[in-house]
Amino acid sequence: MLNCTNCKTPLNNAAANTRSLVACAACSSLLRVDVFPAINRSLPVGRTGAALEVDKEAGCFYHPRKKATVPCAACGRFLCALCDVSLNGQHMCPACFEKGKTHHKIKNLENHRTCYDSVALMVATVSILIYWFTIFTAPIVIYLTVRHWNTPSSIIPRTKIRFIIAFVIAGAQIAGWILFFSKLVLST
Amino acid sequence: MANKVKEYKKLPGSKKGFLIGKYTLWQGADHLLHIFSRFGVEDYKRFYFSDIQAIITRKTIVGKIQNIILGCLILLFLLPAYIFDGGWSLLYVGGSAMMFIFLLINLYIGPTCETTLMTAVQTEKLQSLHRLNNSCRVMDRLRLQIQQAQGVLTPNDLTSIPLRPAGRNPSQGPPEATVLAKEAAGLVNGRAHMILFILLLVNGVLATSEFFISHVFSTVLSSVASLGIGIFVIISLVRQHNSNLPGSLRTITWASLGFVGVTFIMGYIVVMVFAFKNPAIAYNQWEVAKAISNLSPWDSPLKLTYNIIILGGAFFLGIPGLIIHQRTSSRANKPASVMSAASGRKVASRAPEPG
Repeated sequence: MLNCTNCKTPLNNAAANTRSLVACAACSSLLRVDVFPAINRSLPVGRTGAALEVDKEAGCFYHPRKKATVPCAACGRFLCALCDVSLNGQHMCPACFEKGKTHHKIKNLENHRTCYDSVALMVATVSILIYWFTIFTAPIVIYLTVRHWNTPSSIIPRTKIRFIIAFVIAGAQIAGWILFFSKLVLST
Repeated sequence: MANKVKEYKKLPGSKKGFLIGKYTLWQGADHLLHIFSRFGVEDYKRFYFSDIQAIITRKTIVGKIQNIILGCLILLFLLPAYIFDGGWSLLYVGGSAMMFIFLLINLYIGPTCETTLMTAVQTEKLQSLHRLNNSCRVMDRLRLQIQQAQGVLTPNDLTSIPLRPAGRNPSQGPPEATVLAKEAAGLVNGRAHMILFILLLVNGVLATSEFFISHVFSTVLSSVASLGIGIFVIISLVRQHNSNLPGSLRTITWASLGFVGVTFIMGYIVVMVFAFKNPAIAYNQWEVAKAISNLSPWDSPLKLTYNIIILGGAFFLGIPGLIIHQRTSSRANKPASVMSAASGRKVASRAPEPG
């Protein structure tokens, strides 16, 4: 079902895949509609495990009375069709799947990351605006850099340049404060 | 040493979120990765090529409106630059030149658009594809990738596109009553927004009137309108949370909050400067207010700047806000009338995305 994204009126199928802007019949909005075969495909129906017919057949680890169809790629346990979680061509049991998700071992399941290199750089640069604040922020930046040097950053591969710049700025700030206090001590 | 294969390729286009954040789109081996990053935190959404049903790009008039506003701002800045001499004139010329550069950039990057991606279970707006040129370029690239994963859609397949969204058969998903109840939960009539935009326009008109009439009454009215804007911007922000109001309306409401902050700071500066210049009346608030009211914007570059910011900001936010609000309200009333007019014709539609 294709609707105009402006007025929600159903679109004429002739408007699809023209690779140019076509006016909506109802609201005259100019639309480019790219449609793919998945539009005619229905969602696969959920599977249930088949019951064991012969005692010699392998059973599922979690449901011993159900027929095993595939082993878990991580732990090797036998799984029935119900327990089989398929991801990127691999079959996993729900426990390994959950473990992979919570331990960030399955990259494709991650939908949130904290990039400490960006945080360190931001803290190092923004604090310059209120310069006296750097007495607190500079050690924080140094800590973030050292503590999270090996922590995975963005999912898009990036260099350590942010950490390096943040470290240099924070180092300069600390050096500045040391200079300031040493002068203060010497003058008094 | 073997070359490291890049897992993701950056696709053209990016969009800065309002005040914070940035949206980008990346092409992976078997999926699209939509990233929203702000303050060192990244949120990811993946759209697998094999699941994408359609991508719809709609040309919008946002770019044209931006050009008109920038053109108006250039004229607005040129007028005082012509009237004043010295530093103030240079300041306004600088402002005007900056607006002109923005206008040229906006013209260069081309018309705006809204790109929506559909799968069997979701309809997502691709925020980074908000320029038509970029969107078309990306679509030409993605089309090949998606066709590799799904095959090619023949003209015969096109005619058999189902009336009901593919992948959702009647037995699956929540019943219609549940969906309607969920929609109703986020339904907001936007009356607070309407009052906010009307107050903004009133404030703009009052700021304009000060160019011709300098009277304390006008200042009092303007203060009342500003207070009302402050109150209604908070009410609107509370109401729009988790509502079904369009993103543009939400953005304008947030921008109104920024406008309130800026005008408050500017107003404070004007009063402080005036008090320093007139120490005799500095401790009498009423006398200060009266004196500022009687001061024409044409006599004080600072007050002129203040008034220009108020009238520019008020009209810049009030007019589009009111237009979008009216359009949203008329669209919300439309389905009922369409359904009653088209008797017996069943119109299937996709449930709106939450948030």
